[in-house]
Amino acid sequence: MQKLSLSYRYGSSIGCLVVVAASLIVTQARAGTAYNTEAVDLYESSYGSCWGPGSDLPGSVADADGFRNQMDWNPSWLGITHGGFTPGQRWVNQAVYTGDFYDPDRTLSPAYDQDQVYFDVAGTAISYFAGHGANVFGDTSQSCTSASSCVSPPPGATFPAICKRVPGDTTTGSCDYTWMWRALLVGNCASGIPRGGQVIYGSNAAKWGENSWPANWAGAGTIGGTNVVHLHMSHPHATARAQELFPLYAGVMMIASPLIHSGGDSYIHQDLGNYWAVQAMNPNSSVAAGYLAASASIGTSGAYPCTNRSGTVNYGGGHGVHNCGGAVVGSLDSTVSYAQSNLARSWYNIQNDAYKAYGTGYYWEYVSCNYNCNQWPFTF
Amino acid sequence: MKRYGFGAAALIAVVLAACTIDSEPEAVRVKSLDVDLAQSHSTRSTAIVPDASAWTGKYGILFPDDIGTGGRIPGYWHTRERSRFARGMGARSFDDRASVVRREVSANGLFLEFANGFSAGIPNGDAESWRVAPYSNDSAVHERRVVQYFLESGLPQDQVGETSLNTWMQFGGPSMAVGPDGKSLAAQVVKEKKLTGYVTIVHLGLPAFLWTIRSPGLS
Repeated sequence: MQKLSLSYRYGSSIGCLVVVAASLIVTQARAGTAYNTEAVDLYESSYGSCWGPGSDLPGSVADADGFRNQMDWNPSWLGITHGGFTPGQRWVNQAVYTGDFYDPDRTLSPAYDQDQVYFDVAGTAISYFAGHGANVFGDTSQSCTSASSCVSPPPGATFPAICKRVPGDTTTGSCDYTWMWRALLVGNCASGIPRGGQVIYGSNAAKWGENSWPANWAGAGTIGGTNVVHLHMSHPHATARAQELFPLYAGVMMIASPLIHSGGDSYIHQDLGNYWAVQAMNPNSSVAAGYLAASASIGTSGAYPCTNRSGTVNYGGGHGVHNCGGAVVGSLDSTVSYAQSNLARSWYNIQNDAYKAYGTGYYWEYVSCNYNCNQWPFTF
Repeated sequence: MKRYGFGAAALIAVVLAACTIDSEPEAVRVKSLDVDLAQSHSTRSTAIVPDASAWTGKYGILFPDDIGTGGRIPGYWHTRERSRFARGMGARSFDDRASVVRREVSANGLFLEFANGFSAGIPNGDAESWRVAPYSNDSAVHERRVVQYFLESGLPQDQVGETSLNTWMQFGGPSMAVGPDGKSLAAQVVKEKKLTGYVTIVHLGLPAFLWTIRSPGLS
């Protein structure tokens, strides 16, 4: 464990840094400057072997490394001495446990669940996961004209529902219900508490961002601290179903991920992290808008197109996801202005814990679609 | 700002005043409507950087080593002279690493120009361009204008290939609200929506493409 030092790059003398750090401690101001990454390429061959043949996901580690290497490079090479970020932890493959993401205040298993030591460490600006995701149910073929006509959730799914509109749908859509069991997957199914290699959103035990600013959010205590989370994985987030991610919020300013609308999945593009970190070369720029820009910078080659339900009309596609979808950065906070402000935060701002979310009243998100989702809204 | 360590801020200010500050002065904020966000780069990127003095040798910035052109993006380069990225006042150029990158810092953002042809205009988070209306609500109109913009900037017609579209939207709503039917919370979550703008990606018929989002200054 290391690299969690408070590092402001304003001063060139160590003495000044010491004094600045001391002043911060005295007045209890908190800063999150580190970027931590956890990435898994090896699923099939990792400990425990709970994933089957062909489950390895090459490119995940390269993606996370591309992010951190660019972040490493930005200040030193460009002479941007006020970027202020510090390299944090890097865990890959078998060294990534489910317990890295679970909050011991929620699971009451502090010997094994230690998100406060790994993914949600105090002093963290950005926590970055790249790997598999799973558990996507709740979509149905039930025909609907509005959400109120969706009344039969499949087993395990719950209300609320949406009446999803796929590009090309003119009068009727299909019912999608809430599914609270989405999960990010790790390869190590033997160490700590294996949990089948799954970190389930809806468990209410993976909670990120909590510290003394948003104190004891949902019983998560004050031991966390990350400010921005990136989930670069399959099926992390579906359109109009943000409530499936709400259990993860415990003060984190925003969560970025690919966005799935219909027919497909996200895929690991190993340049996404790099493109996003390039945006940090301007530390006054928007972190959330930079994420959408990174998505735009991923091309369309290799991606399945976004089509109508019968696959006969092409409406777009690519840019990090198969079929129809895109990228999303969401924020949950107490008021609409706070949620919106979180999404406007710059790379500077996300190092300041004073900007953490501390409520659950309002949700706001920036979305980039790989088709015209203004012309073809997500729902009826 | 919700809560802030004012005491800490004041104390830090005093301490920093006595320190050598090697950061760049922050640019003055001014309003400008002449902003676009444009990028030009390779679709294939690995990490071969000519000036390796500070390079880690890992994955990183956009220097293609696999396109058969000596690590340089072929075809049109969208340089800062060609871009209408609105710098705003106080633009300052830094060519101290011109063999790798030139950068221009201004009131509205940063324009980067790498030696391999990658360029990026990255506006500040509070740039006026984020608050103005989209160029058009019609994606086809936007697309035509973006292609014209790049042609006017010097992009040869014969390099213009297909285009693709990204749509930037905002959605939100009360997270705890329940719909009139008692069930449709999700519909409430996306109750409010707003078009931020369209992004038109111009594929160059080469291993490269350009993209730009809404260009209010181009009308």
